[in-house]
Amino acid sequence: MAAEDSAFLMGRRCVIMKKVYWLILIIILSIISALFLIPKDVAQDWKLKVLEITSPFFKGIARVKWQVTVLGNDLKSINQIKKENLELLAINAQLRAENETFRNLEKENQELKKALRFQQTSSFQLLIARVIAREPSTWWQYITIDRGEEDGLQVDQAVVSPQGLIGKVSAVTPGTAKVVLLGDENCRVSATLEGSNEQGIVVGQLTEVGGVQCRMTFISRTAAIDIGQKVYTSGLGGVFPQGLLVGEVAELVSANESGGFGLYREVLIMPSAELSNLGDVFVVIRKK
Amino acid sequence: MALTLLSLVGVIVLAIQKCFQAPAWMQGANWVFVPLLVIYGTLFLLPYQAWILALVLGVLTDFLSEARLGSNAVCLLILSGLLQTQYLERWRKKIYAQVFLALVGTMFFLIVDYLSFSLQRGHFFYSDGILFKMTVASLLNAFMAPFVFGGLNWGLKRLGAKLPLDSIYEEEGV
Repeated sequence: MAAEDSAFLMGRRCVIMKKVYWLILIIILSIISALFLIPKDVAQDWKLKVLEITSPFFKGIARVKWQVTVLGNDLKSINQIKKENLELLAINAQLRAENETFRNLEKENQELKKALRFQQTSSFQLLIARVIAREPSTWWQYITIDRGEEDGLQVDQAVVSPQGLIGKVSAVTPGTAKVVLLGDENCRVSATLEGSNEQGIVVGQLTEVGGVQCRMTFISRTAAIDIGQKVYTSGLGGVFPQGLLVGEVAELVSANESGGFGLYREVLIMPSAELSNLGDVFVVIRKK
Repeated sequence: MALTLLSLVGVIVLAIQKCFQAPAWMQGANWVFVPLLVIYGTLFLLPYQAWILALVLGVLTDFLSEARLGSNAVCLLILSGLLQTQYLERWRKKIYAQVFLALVGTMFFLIVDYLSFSLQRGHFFYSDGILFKMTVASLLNAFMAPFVFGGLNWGLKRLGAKLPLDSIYEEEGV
């Protein structure tokens, strides 16, 4: 009798457990369905709020990381520092010489432009920012920086590193900003090839192994393009100012592999900035 | 208790993924540690607890990424569901099985995640580079799986959290 009762209770327990499992599964699926039904704009607002709430934490970790890096650099051996010092002295002398040449060239350039009554070319006003977080997925190419609306940042402002263009601001919160990187196809840059008037659009593609490469499309079929040729922003798109270095031509795409049925040419671009190793970046606020 | 602790570990793992860039030798691939936790949850928690863990970690990832809300949760739930087979009770504590499940599980997650990404972008593009990134991330997770699972088992036991599947299989004498 006791064994029968026990078997009955076990069976009853199994039935209840099965029902509980179904109930939990239905609740989980309902939550996910509800999440999918949330409009994209509302979801984006929620994500920015979450980013704003979590940003002090990410800023704290970035600060600790920075201090650890500085401490690591301080712990270098004296010999290494001496060696580096000698190298730096040599580089310094070389840079001074180059700087002098560039100063003369700039002066000459400005005089020529004045003479031609062109608008005076001037450098950009930059705001330094630190990368505090990165996209946790492999496929999306976004970073978060520690400057936001309060620092004068706006959507679509260009972001650069000393090596070249990185991307543009895609969303801002009061204290942080999201930057869509050059390697993401949502970042399209109107660009021009060095030493020619050839124009094109640079679009990111994450299909390559290693450093993120971009594809420059809509180049004229007759354009003469060389590997290693530099690519600069053309300023035509209205988002990126003219003259920012984007990268250099890494590979010429054959007509068969190009889009547009051979109506235009395409090349692969290796971005000059190391997009996978970003520390401090600069936001182009405006022209001086 | 185990579910709560694993969710907390998940938050820390997510923060690591968000704050620390993957090294250059990963050739553009990123860390993919969250699926590893979900695989652990599937091996050592009750099925519904594993689903809840997948949902919690998926939604948290969605909130901190550009992906559509719910997409990561779906990918992780599919992964958890795929691994919940009748053979699990025999395999889950064997190191070679953990390595295999971490390898296949991460690869499967990344494939579903890439399909979800393509769907959100409105076009699908295949190349060797994508497969390479998936393989690198999966191999890393497979290598780490026995250490991570062992560490989590040890940590949870030290904190007094019982692993539900262990208790059930011990009762049943599996």
